[in-house]
Amino acid sequence: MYIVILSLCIVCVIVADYREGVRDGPRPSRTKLTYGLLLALALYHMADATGLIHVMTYYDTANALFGPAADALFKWFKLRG
Amino acid sequence: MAKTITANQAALLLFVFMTSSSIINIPGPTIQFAGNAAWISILISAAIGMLTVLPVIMLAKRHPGQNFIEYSRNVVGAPITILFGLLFLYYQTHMASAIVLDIAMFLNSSVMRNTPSYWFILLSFLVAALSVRTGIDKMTGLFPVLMASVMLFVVLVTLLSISNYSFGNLLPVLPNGAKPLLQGVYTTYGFPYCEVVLFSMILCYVKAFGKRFEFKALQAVLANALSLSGATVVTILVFGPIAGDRKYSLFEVARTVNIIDVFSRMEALIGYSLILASFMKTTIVLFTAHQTLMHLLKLKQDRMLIFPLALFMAAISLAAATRGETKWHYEVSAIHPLWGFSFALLPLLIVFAVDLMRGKKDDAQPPQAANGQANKEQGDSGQASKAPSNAKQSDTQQSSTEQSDAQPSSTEQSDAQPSNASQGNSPQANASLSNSMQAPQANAPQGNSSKA
Repeated sequence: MYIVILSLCIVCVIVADYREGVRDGPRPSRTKLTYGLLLALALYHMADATGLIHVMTYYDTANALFGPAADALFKWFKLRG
Repeated sequence: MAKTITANQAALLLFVFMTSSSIINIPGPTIQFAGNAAWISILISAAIGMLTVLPVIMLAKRHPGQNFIEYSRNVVGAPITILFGLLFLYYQTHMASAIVLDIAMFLNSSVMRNTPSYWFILLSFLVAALSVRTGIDKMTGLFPVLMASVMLFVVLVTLLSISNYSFGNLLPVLPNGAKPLLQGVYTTYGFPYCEVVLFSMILCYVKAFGKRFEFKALQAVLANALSLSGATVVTILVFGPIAGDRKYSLFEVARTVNIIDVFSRMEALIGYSLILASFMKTTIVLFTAHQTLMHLLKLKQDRMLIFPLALFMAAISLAAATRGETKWHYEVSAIHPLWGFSFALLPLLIVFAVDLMRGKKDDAQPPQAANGQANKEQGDSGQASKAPSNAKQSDTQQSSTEQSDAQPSSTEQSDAQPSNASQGNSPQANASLSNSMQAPQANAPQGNSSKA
């Protein structure tokens, strides 16, 4: 069910934007590239959310970036005296 | 007609943005960290938040009709702007995902336990994306009305639970020293006061700020601080030592209301408020994220990227939901404030400092020297981003290229407020141009470039 709903969402997004694209005229290449990149990133995270694969996600990168500093700060907050 | 908002609407939107989801989400975690001093930590954070909102407003006033990406391009140059913009977008994407995941977790844990969370996440983002597509003017018209209903229910629940108050719960205030208070300040500054930096992407839509806009914005922050600290005090008064364990504290407070068996089960009102508040904040964040992405790509008002951006945010929420609630609590309370400070506030402060220094430097130059400098820079097309007048020129060239490239519809052309501003069609842009290009020589190439 989960995969069906997500596939439906992606198809609806593409159809809606395709129809608007046809109506409004061609977009610059960078728009199309960004569009594709966003969809690819969405698929990547959705694949992780299914549990079939375990890959590094958006919040894993944030944890890698800010985790050590935040942990040190919280450790200092917990220290008494 | 270009989409604009009034200064009063912007101040109201600021209040909506800061108060909406935080009034229900903030009291629990803050009490958990700061104990009975939670309300003091909120007031301290609000004081710092007032200092945070001032540079945002000052930059918007110094660069009328331009958002953070646009004036950053003029101030610090294109490469640094792209870096700052990507960091900013990274933070905004997280914010929208976090707000929706919060509401999904709330609904899953308190209201609809058997419904999978992806329904809440996907539908929330669908509604937010459709709202963003309608435009900023519709959002600013609708949100104050919705926020009034949220505040009404919050006040109602607060008043109806008076019989459950125990004022002895407010003491002791600081039994473990100042560090818990500081931890509360850290958390509450990150959410919601540091987030006001997102308004650097919205204030460009304000047609005329007027003289007292700073005062109105500070009033909005103050009203937010009083609302949040009030909700926190009520939670402490009702639950006492176990207040920190109550995650959605106002929802729990509403559950305790029972007056002569008539006024009971009031939590539905707070549930409604939470959903509505999250929707409003998600919409504002999605709007600013879309604006950031669009201006990074130097696109004019194009709605095509709204749906894929919302889908990407939904996918991040779905992936984060699988990691569990404990991990999520850590992300929000420990990582989020640091994230906002590093990737949103710090870039803005750097741009603000450079802009102030450049402003002083420009003021210090004699007028003739400044004109000569402008002419010299106009001759050098590679240095377009160094001078505001040249930035306008390059924007005009970009705009003409864009129009021939994308062939936007008449609807989109009418939506393009920032693009109009950069082309000098709006009063703000005219004021900006007249400020930045005082020499007649500087105006001549501008007109030529437009024709070209």
